[in-house]
Amino acid sequence: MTDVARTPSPGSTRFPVRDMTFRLSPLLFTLVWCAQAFAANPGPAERLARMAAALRSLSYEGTVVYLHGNQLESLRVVHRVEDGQVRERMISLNGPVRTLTRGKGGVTCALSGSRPISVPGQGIGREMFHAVALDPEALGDHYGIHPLGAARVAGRDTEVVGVIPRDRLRYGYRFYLDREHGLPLKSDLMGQRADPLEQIMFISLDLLPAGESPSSAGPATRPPRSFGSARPAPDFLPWRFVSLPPGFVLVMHDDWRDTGGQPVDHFVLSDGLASVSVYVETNPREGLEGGTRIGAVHAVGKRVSGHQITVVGEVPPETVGMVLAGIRPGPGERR
Amino acid sequence: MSEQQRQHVSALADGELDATLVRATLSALGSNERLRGAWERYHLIGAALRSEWIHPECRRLSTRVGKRVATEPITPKRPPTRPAWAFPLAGAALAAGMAFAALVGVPWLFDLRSEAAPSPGLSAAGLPPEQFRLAGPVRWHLDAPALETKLDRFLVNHQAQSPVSGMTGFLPYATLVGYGARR
Repeated sequence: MTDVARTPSPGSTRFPVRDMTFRLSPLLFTLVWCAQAFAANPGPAERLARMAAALRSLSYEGTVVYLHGNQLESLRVVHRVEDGQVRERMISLNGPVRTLTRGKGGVTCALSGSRPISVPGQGIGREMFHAVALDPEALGDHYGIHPLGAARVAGRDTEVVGVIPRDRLRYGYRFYLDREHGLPLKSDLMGQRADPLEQIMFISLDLLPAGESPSSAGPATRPPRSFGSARPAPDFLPWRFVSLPPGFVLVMHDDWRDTGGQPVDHFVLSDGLASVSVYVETNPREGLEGGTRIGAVHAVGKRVSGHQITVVGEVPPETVGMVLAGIRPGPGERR
Repeated sequence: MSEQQRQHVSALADGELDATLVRATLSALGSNERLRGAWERYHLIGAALRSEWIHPECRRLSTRVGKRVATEPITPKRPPTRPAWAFPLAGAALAAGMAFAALVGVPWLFDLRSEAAPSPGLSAAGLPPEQFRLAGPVRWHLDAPALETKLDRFLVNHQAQSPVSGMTGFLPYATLVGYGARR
């Protein structure tokens, strides 16, 4: 009886289990190999997510060169994650000394020829501090994310990921991501032409030991919030935006008083990657009329109903112009 | 070569020879090969002490110039009508030329020119051409310091508050620090 049951009838497709396993083993092996290969070679979106995680968790110091136009600058950078908080110090190595420190207390920037600029790190809206996750699906409408091959930067192997805009209203990026740690060792800011507008690249990099970056606790290790998850309610805002550039939404509103005691409303709009700030001041002494820029950062301003409106962002000039043209008095109380 | 001549050559190499002795020392250099050797050595020692770049072709420059001149074919356009007394003068002129080449050429080969000395290509006013002048990057392209400071503050605040600025370049503040102020 047992022998009969083990013998397949003529024309049957049934095989003994041992035989089936033998026949399926190449397929299983292929599946396992593909899974391993996928894990070892994540896609470009996964690489970008890994980059964001590396920036939030790794400590490093090094020297970068910054090329904008035909100007070449060098900067010393120290980036530490301590108690879950990113602390960064940057100093220019050529020209007049300029420094920037970023930490729990905020950002302090000392430029030559002007008083230091400080932005507090605590308060309404400040918890956003670089803590919003990149959402590849949300980016998909306005950017394409593509692998661009491999390159060697600062003596290390990198995988290059391109974030390529689908229109002329935002810049593109090429990130050269360290194959081992995911840190971006080089970044190209791309305009509409083939040549990068700006390039920044490590020429030396020292990763600090993990013991010096206790990232196991603290806010920086919390999962970053998703893009646009806490948008301000437009009905309560003193200004509103119509006909924004495609993909840009209001993600933050804050207000404070400037050094002269005058109120300032600050709005941040973003498409998930690029962002634009809108500042509304009440009767300031000086204000920007028309457009200007610093590198790839463009600014444009005008007076509206006794208020000075200034739009600033690392976007093409057309984009800041569209945002400025789209601002209107809102239903909320305006000071 | 007397000790006094050697001292004069040394002083000439250092630019410290009394003006009344220059002509006689140059004449001696033109006629005395050992003095010319001393002249080269003094420059060589000085260049080495000053860690200056030394051109290997500088050695025995005047000798090589003299040999080259001697081997050049002479094709007179007309029969020699020069009087006999002119030949010693021609020899003296050749010696003086060799001495002049040594005086001018050796410092040039040793690159002894001062860094502060203007190059022959500079304009008469001493100013370098416009395209060679140093020009730092311009912030904001405005001529209003107070407004530029305000825009700087806006940009710092924007970078601090932008939710994804960490993604748009691993050093979002490089623009701020990388541009020196014009004022």
